[in-house]
Amino acid sequence: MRQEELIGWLRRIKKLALVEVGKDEEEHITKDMRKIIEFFNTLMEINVEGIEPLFMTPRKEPLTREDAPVKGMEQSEALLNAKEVINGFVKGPKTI
Amino acid sequence: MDREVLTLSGLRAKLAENPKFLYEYIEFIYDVIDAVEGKVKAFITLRSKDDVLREADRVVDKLIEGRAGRLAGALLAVKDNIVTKGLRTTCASKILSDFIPPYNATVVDRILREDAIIIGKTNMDEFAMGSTTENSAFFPTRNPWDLSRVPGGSSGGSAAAVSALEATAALGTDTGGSVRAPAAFTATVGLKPTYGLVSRYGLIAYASSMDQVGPIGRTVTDVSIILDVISGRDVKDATSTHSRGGYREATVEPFKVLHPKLRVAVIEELVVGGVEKPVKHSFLRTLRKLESNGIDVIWLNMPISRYSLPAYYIIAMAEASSNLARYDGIRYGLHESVEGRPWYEVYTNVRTRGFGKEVKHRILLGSFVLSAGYYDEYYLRASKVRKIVRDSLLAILREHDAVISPTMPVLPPKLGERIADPLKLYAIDINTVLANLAGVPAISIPSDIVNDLPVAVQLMGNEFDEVRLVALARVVEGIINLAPLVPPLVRRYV
Repeated sequence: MRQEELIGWLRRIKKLALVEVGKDEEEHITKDMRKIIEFFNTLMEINVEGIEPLFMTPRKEPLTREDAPVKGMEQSEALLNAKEVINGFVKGPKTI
Repeated sequence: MDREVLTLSGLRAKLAENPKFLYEYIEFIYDVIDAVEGKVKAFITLRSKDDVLREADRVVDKLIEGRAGRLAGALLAVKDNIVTKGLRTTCASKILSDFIPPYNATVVDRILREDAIIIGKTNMDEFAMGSTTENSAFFPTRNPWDLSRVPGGSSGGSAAAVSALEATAALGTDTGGSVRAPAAFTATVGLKPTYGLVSRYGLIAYASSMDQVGPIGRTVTDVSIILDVISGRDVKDATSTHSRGGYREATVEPFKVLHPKLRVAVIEELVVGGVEKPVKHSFLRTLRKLESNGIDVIWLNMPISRYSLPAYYIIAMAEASSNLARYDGIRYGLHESVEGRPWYEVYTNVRTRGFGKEVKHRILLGSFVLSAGYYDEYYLRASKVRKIVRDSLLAILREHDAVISPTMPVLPPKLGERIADPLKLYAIDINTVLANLAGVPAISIPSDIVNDLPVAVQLMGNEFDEVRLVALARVVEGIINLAPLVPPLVRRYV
């Protein structure tokens, strides 16, 4: 990828990822990204036709548990890390 | 302190004889901590000696009454991405710097049920992203064998704490080598279990299809004792599975579970290429020792292994970008109180302030490899390569007792030596990522001291066959005959 392409790509992706990258950081980050993407591109050397992707290793036991109610965490405990709580709800900042 | 009690198994024997020895042991550990922690910096949160002594009273009572658990009196260090109820858990990130978990991870419940005492929460690379523990948002941890060098990562604090005698043993986590790398660099033993053998409930996710909790200890037997405790089915983690148990026993009488004629495979690609000369020569010496003790060493090739590193990083970054989407500063963690802005700006501000550079990079690249137009070329392709890697490795493991390699291709690097260039940093994971991609267990054991620095070998075994893996590791440990190793920094205490 060319530098302009990379910067355009970075500006799109950072919006998707909800992470800001300052203009001063752009050059440094794209330099690293270029290296990493070239490194990823080595996979293009492999013929993967007809290969099933493996997203996680297969398991022999069932994934489900018995459908029985269990006692969970107390509401007050679950809210311990919220900055502000109103009537058992987390209060977030007002957004538009 | 008597060398015999430095291991978990030795400590157990001593406490069975004299339960009150636990108080003396705690004093010893805190004396060492007072002397070296300022230099090593293994802990993010260290519990006070008074708190630990109070907990010890209960353990001593149980020991006297003969109803103490299998980890009674062990002072365990827990990596700071494993949640501990009421004890701050930061993941070495600013975004969680004041997070007090309201629940325990399953592995924490299990070690506490067996009367272990948690001594503190250990430093790590932020969100476990790194191989040197330099990516911590707070401070780097230093290698007890040479304070100018890294302890490896991302469980660097856990391994350094064990190595420097600041803890009996520790829990780490391993997504691409994060238990084995620091174990190798600090001359401790680190085990990554088969994917699914240990519950991930309460482990702060990095790459969910590869993350596993693993023990770090001074001997193969010590990590096996902990594996007996933490492994097994947990209804709170749907990917967890039943555990056969009997790991410690397998290390006591290895040939009860092993064939008398052992065959280990060496994958040539893991020994040539990026392996530094001193490490390679040491590895070849270790192989000769094994052969002269009657173990067959078979060299073979696995061409696809050369591609495991990019495949691993694509998959890990993709999963990380998805897992780390949950940090928005609303329900917990770093908070943004500015009002009247668009929601995405509020989230973006918190995340930009809260995440460090490497974490941001991996989230961005993970978003890239999953984005429309690139998904097939990167993420899907990497997942197909993963399938080839797993099938090739399982084929080798069907014919051999284990695959042996250097754990790390280099000696512990100096601080700053690898971190500036991402590819130089990723390159040192070359021999460890295979086990995570394939889901098989792997253990790192110290094999040599070269230029006063630790060198280690890794054994990879068949999935869910930790019994034979630890048995074989015990045999190899016996042949190498170095354990337990104590770094010069703390030698005057033993």
